Amino acid sequence: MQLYMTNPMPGSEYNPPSINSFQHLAFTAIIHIFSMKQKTKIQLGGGNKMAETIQWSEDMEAALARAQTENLPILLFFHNPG
Amino acid sequence: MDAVTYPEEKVIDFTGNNLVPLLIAFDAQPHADHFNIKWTPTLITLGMDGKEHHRTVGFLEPEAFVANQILGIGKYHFDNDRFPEALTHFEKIMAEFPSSDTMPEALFLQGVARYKNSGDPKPLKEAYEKLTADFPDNEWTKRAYPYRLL
Repeated sequence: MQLYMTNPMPGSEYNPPSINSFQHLAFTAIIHIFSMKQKTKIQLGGGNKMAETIQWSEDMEAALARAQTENLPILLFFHNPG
Repeated sequence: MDAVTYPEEKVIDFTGNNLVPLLIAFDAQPHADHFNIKWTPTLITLGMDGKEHHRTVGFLEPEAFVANQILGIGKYHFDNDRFPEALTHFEKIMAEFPSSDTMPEALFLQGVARYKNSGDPKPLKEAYEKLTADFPDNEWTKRAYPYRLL
């Protein structure tokens, strides 16, 4: 990935700031940390408030039992798996 | 629904925090017959005793999905005579989804729940007046028509 132009075209008004190796290292570290945070968020899953998808049950009896335990109504979604 | 609505963060958060999500194939027995399923997607709000309180058929985009689930939860409380809890949900639709398709029904039921909660018929007339002003041609406005006389 080209992060910046080292040789702007002659006459171009665009004159990007150069990035030294320390700045490049810092930039790479920030991207890496962000990527790790995203992976951690995805791994939480399993009914956690930060779940990345709806945690569907496929068992009516289990859903009714959970609804009574947690005092919540049920969202029943009839779908066409085909 | 799987491609557009369910991946949305607000849909995931709302469903995870307020409902027990249950996925069943349209032809799975005995549920398909019990709930008389003829088309998909069909979404039903069930009480913890398995009784139906609200149903939609057809695609819902994320905003409409959340508004419909709030309405369903409100109707679940309403049907069980928990009018303050029902009001909380109907008023949430009025505050957060005022231009949604669920708004007229929420307005109607808010008026009825306020009446049931207080015994004062004034909220019924207020619901009719609000419906007439904002949704003059809606079916819920027609259903509230008798309340103009209160």
